[in-house]
Amino acid sequence: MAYYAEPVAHLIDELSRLPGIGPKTAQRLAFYILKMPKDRVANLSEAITKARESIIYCSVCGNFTDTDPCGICRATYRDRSTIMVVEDPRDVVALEKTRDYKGLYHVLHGAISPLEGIGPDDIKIKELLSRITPGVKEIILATNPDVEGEATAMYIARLLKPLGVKVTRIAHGIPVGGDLEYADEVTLTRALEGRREI
Amino acid sequence: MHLSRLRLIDFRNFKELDVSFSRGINVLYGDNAQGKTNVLEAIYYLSNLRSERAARDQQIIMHERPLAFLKGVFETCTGSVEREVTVFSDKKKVVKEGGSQKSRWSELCGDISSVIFSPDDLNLIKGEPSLRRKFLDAVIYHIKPGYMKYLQVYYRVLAHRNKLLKSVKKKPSLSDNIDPWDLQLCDAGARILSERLEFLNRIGADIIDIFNNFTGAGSVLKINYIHSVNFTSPESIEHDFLNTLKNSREKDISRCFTTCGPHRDDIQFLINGRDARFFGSQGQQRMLVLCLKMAQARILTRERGEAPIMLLDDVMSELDIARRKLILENHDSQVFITTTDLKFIPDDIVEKSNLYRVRAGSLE
Repeated sequence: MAYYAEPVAHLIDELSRLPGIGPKTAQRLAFYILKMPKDRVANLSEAITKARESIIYCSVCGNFTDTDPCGICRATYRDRSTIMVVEDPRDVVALEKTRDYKGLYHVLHGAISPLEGIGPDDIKIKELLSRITPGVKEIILATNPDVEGEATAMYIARLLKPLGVKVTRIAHGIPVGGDLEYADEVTLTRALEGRREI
Repeated sequence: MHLSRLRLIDFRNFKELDVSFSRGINVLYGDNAQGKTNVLEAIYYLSNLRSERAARDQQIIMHERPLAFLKGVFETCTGSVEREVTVFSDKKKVVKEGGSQKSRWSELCGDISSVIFSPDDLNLIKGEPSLRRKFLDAVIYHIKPGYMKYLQVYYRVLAHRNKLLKSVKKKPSLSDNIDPWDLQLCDAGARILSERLEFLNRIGADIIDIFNNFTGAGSVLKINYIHSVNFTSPESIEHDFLNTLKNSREKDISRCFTTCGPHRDDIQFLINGRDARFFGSQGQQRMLVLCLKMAQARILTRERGEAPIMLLDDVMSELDIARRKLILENHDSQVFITTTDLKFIPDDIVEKSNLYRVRAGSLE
């Protein structure tokens, strides 16, 4: 027996394909949408279509953008001698929120993961290499501190070394405001390895 | 630490059970297939939150029942702890302590532990090397929980590397991609190897001491860690591991898996110079397993200050009287022991034990 009219079932089905949305949440969202005024529903669907249609990858850094090159790559006040390498566009957002970093980015769109069949050619590493010009002084590797991110960072570092550019890796350690006693052993070991003189 | 009360609902063949236990020796006796081992399994489950014999949690639920409920009251040196576990047939189990739900190991009382000895454990000596590695790893992470993280990282990196080796075999140009995995494998692997060596040293002394008590003069036990990575000193393990990996890379590629590292190691027990795995008698092997388990209990007692509960499933019938006494008299902790017949328990021990008759899913 069908619980929903076909168009409702279709909507729930589409919504539940989104990350973080299970069948129950999809049902809740679907019924909420059905109760929304028609013009707001039109706005929503237009926003989705428009975003999808107008957003492209920046030809320089690979981040999502509606203008090419993206706002960050075009900004004249930014430091063009530093490139921060991240896995995901969301990482750019996180770093931008700090307002501390003034250099450029490079988005890999993934990390090397043989188990998932993702090799160096499947993420934007070649694009990074083509950006290394004499003006670039430092590459900061800010991939995630898990085994895949670590392997990606090591792989890129090895490619960049012969090019004579300074390659750095973001520090691993105790979260600020965190408790030393609650940190796990691996994190503590890494923090100890990365200690600095004050 | 000891278990003072156990309550079970729809657990294995126990429809409903509510029983009190005391310190010292508790003997569970009765015919086969009455539920003696199930009681031990329940106690083990409450202290370790997993069963040592059921592959899936759901197997402990009584046939065609929606859930199993276990509750234990443990008396520790810091007070009594009430722990409840509900295992559902269709969703994740719920663990409560002192009435509030706990979702992580670290939130639970760390004083509660148990060590089980069952007839299947003979494989610890007779079986594959992986069982011996698992035993040693478990000893380590029960004392140093951080060790678990290194194991997880190691096995994740290993899985990536093995997958990559398969691709390299098909497409040799990919072999450049192996280096980052080698580095990470060595980093975690060196930690695992040095912890294993250190702990085997510590527990090894206990195992040999217990073994000597059991056998007296005449038998000499020696324990070796067989490692696939040769290293010159403890500090150089990481470096030597990396070299070994480099040297075996070609072999690894052709065989599509990583041929050296802590995941290939073994622990060897030599009785009078002969490997107990292949040449030990059934009796020697059983005795050795018992020594391992008792050493594990000893090291837990030393590190945590509380003796674990000993769960001995059907060990008596195969040992002579003197050894039976040795096992049972050696504990300042709580011991649960199952037997089909009270005649297997030395008389003077029966006198000071609490006896429970197990019959068709009930305790008297």
